[in-house]
Amino acid sequence: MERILTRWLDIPNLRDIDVYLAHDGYKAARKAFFDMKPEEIIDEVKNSNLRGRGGAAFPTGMKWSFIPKNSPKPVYVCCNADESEPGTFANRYQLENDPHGIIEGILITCRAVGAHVCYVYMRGEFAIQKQIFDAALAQARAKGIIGPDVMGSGFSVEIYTHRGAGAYICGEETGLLESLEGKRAYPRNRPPFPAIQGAFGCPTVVNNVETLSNVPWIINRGADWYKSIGPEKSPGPKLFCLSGHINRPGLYELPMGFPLKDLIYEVGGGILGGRKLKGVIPGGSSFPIFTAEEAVKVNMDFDSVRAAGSLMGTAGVMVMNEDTCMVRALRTIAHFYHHESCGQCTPCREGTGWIEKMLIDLEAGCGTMQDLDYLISVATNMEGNTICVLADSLSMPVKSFVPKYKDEFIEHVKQKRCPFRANGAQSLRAAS
Amino acid sequence: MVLVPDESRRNTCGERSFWLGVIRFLQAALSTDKALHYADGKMADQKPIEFSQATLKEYREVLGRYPTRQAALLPTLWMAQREFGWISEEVEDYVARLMELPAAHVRAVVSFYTMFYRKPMGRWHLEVCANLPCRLRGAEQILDCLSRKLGIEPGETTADGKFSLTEVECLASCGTAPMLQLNHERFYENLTPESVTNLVDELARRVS
Repeated sequence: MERILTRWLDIPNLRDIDVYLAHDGYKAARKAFFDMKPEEIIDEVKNSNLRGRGGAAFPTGMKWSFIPKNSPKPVYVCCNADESEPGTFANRYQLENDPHGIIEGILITCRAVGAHVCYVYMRGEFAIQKQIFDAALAQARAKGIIGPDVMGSGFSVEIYTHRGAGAYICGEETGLLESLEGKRAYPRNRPPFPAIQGAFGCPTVVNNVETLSNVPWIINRGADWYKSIGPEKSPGPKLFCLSGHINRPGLYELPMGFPLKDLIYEVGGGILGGRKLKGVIPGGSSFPIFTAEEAVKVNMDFDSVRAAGSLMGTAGVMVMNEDTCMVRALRTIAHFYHHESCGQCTPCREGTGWIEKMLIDLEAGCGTMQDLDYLISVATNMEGNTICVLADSLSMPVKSFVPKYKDEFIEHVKQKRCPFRANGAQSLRAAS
Repeated sequence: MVLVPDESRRNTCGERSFWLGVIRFLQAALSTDKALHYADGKMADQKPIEFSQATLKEYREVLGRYPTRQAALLPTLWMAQREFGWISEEVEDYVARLMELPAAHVRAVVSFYTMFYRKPMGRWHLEVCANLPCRLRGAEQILDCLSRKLGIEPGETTADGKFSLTEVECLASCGTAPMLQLNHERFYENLTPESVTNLVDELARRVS
C-alpha cells in the first residue's frame, strides 16, 4: 500500500519545507484557499467520513460544521498534540518527521471554520518535538505560508505551540482548553460544547494531530478516494502503534479495517519469545482487553472493534503473552488512572484509588473473593458519573480484565500470592 | 497567607525543637514582613528572584500570543524553571507579581502539573517510564538497576546532587520500550541494564 501519513519513510528530510514543497507540499492548502469555499471544504471532509483519531472517533466534518457561521467572536483551532494515552506514540513520530503535513492540515481547518489563530497544545515531555515543530513554523512563516497573508490570499493564520507540563488530562479536549487558559486542567461540563464556548469563551475546534494530517489528502484527492481505503463508515489510512510482547514493535501505517491477527502475527512478527498470546488491548490502556480467541477475529476499524466489545481509541495495540500476570497488568493501569485523575469528581478521585488499592492487595496475596465483586461494583459506580471519561477509562479495563481472566484473579486469592512470582521471577518481564 | 505550615516547612521545623518551631511559625504568621517567612529557607543566600532581560523580552513576546494574560502562565512557568532551576514559593510569588495574578492561582497551577519541580533536582534527571507497555518489556529491571547503581529510590536525588531518579507515566515511546527521558529532553530507548549502567557512568564523568 502507498504510504500516506508516513511518507517520511520514503522521502528523506520531509520535515524541511523545501523537500515538502517539492512533494506537492501545501498544494491542498492552496486549493482550499483559492479554489474552494469554506462550506465546500467542510462538505468534502464530511463526505470523506473522516473520524477523529484522538480516541473518540467523532466525525471531523460534523465537528467543524457546529462552529457558528459569521461568529462575532473570534474562532480558534486547537491541535491536540498532548498524546499521552499509554501505548500510543504516533503523533510523536508525526511531529518529528512531518510537521508541515500537520501545519497544512491546520491551515485548511482554519480556512474551513474561519479561524485566524491555532494553538498546538503539545505535551510537556515533547521538548525536542516542539523544537522541530517551531522550526517548521518559522520556515512556513518565512515563506509567507502562515502569517498575516496566507499565500497571498489576504487571510491571516497564526499558529503557536503551547507546551503542557505533564498531565494526562490535558488530552481531554476541555481539560486542554482550561490548561491553555493557564489553569489547572479540570475538564468542563458540557454543554456548552467547545464549538460554541471553547478557548477564551469563543467557538473552538479541537482536533488531534493525526486527524489534521489526513485533511490535506482528502482535499487533494477527494472524499471518494479517501472512502475507498478501508470500510466506508470509518475509512482512511491509520497509524497503528504496536507495543508489548511482540517481535517487531513500532509504528505501522495500514488501511482501516486491517485484521488484528495479521497485525500481530505478520506485521508485528508474532509473539515475543515464541510464546502464546494471552490478551491484546486494541486502543490504548483505557479500553477493554481482548482475549487471544477474541483478538484473532477482529478487524481494526472503529465499528468492528466496537461490535466486538472494545474500542479502537487511539490504536495503541498492546500485546501480552502467556507469562503476563493480568492482576499486575491491571494494577499498572489502575495506578496510571489514579495518578492522573484530576480530582474534580469524587467517583473518579476515590474510585481509581480504591481500585488500585484492591489490586495491590490482590497481587500481594492479601485479597479476598469478595474483592473481585467490589472491583466490578466500584468500576460500575464510576461509569458515567463524572464530568469527563477518565473514570470510564479505568472502569472499562477493570470490567473486562476481571471477568475474562477470573481464574487468574481467583488463583491469587487461593494461593495467597502471585502464581507468576514463583522462584522470584518477575511477572511482567519480557520473555526473551 | 498560609496559616498551616506545608510539607517543606514542617521538615525544616522538625529538625529543631518543637517550641522553636512554634515561635518561628507565630513570628511568620504575625509578621507583615514577607522575608521572615523564609528566614531559614534555602533561597536566602541566592540572588534575588528576577528574570533576566532576555527572558523578560521572551515573556513579553509570549504575552502577545494570547487574548488573556493568564494564558501565558504555563509558558512563563517554563521560563521560570529554566532560569531558576525549580519553582520555589519565591518564584511563584515573583511570577504572580509579574503576571498580576493571585499567588494562590499560580501555586494551584504549579502543584497540578508534574513537570514543574517544587524542590531542587539533580543535575541529571532520569525519568523512567513504568507504564504497562514499558513494564511488559522490562522497565522494572531498568528501575531496579538504576536504583542500585545510584543508591537511591525513585523520587530521590543523590546526596551529591548529581542524579535524580523518577518513575513516570507513558512518554509516547512504547514501540521502543523500555525507555527513559533525560532532563525533560532527550529520549533513551530500547534500554537494557547494560545501556543504563553505561549512561550513568558517562553522565557522572561529565563536568557539568
